Amino acid sequence: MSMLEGRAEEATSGERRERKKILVVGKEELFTEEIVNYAIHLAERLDYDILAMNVGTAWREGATLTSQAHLREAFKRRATAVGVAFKRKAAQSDIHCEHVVKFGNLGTAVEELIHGIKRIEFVVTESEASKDEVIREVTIPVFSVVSNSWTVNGGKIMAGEYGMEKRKPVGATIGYGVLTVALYAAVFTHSDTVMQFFTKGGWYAALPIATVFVFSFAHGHFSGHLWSLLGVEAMKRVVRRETEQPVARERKRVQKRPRLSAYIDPFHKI
Amino acid sequence: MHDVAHEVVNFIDLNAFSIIFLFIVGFIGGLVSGFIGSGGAFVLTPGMMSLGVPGTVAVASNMCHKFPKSLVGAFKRFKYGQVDIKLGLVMAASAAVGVQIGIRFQQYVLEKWGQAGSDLYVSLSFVAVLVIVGGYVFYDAWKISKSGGEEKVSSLAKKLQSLKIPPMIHFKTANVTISLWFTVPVGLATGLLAATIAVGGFVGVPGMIYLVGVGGLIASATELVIAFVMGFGGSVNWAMHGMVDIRLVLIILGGSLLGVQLGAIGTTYVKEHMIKIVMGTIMLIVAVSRAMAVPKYLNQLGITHMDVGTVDFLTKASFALMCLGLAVGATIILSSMWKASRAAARLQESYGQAV
Repeated sequence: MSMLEGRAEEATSGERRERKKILVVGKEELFTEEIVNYAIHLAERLDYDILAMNVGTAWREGATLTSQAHLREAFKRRATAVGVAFKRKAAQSDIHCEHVVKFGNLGTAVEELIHGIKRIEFVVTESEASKDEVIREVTIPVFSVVSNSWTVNGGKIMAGEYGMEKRKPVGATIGYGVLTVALYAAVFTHSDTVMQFFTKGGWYAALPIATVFVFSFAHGHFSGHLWSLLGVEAMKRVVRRETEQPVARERKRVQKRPRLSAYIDPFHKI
Repeated sequence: MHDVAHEVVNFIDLNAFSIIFLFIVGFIGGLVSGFIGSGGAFVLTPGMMSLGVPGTVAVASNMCHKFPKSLVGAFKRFKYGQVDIKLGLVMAASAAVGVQIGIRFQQYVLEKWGQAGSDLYVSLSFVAVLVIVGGYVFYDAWKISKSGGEEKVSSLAKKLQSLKIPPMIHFKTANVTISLWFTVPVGLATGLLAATIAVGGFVGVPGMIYLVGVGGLIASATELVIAFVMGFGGSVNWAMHGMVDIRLVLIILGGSLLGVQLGAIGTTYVKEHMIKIVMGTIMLIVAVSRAMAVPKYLNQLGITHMDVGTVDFLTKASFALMCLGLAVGATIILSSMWKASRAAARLQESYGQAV
């Protein structure tokens, strides 16, 4: 198959090009059969690799450090076993699969992975809830496999891509459109009177200034909605990357601070 | 000035041609300024004058359409996280001072050399600034696109940022910490140029990029804040003299609010250096256009004695070229948006097939 040939070529070429990957996020230490089948099927069609991840999130606040470490070990063991099964199944379809286990917040774990590993193209999650959690942190597309929703052909119905669920603002466009037309009609049918007062100068200056504000509100909303109605909408990907970088950097700095003061305080008492 | 204005000013009668012309130029100008932060004014003002609108009314009406347009554009781009309000306000405050200096200097030139001398001064500074700054912006954009589209902070900006002369100021969205002593001159120059050639953004945006070290995306979005503040102040001033023709303003606004939103959306489709490409291209074309207007003023001053027909032709060609500059900018924006959305659609399709 061409895919195999491709692999062989990559292995022989001096500089191995990173392959595209699907990140599959499990439900705690498990992967349901649906998501495993779905991910393998998808990877096969797109000729991508799979990166499977289990994230241990449900940790009790009160648990002691030793019991937490114990729980983590147990989680890791179970998850690794599931990961091995996933890998084996992927290997049957000749798909390369890696498995990782992480702890903590689901969104942060995904974000960390995306920053650390190259060419993760999109994320597939088990449920809508975990999809929402991931979406908040990352800029690449996130899908969820909605259980028990078979199509006529026997395939899975997949939740829409992030950003596509927004409904078209038909009502708002018409509403602001009517308002804008009414405002224009009002000014241009009385243009003589309007011009007479608006050009008087002095305090009458407030009239044209206020008018443009009102028009920019009505017409601005109308034109904004009109473009999204026509399907011209911002691509969130590019912009988010620009703006989220400094925020992410700052978060790290905040984490370091308490540790510093903890070292300094006892020293001062001596 | 108040009383004089009332006697002199004649507001034009509108016809279908002028309405359509203003709407379309408004739209294209809006598109460009939504994308690069400024633009449109250099075509609108002479465009209105060619329709028979008196110069002062054209300038006043243009300014009065500029600030709501910038407001809508800035708001839209703020939602995309591209606007640094603090930087915008610092720049606007210093630009306001720059405008006052610019106006004083302009008056001095007018007194000394008369109208033609003043026009010549405006055109020459226009050409000089646009060729130098526009040329550099274009060269930089070309260099970036050749090296794969990665933008780097200029070494001059890095050096200026490393000089810790208090008061230091941090701009969060732009992610830049720089001394106020370097930010204010950029603002002053923006205002000075705005008072002289009416398009401050042509120096403000490159200033923010190459001197302060802000990215092209954030610089162009922040320019909209500056344009709003400056335009608002200017418009109040003009409106108090009764110079604003609200009908012209509303027609242009009709087109430009559609355009500015499209331009703002466009910035999220393209790589950051596209802003520089569009800006550099427009600046260079406009520079040639203004250079073509120079012989007219030289003739008026009696320095050269060119044929009247030739001068007339050059003046018309200058305006046509200015329109062309705007059109070329708009075409680059729309075609790169089109390409990017096609690429995204193809990606979507491949996901769709996979299901």
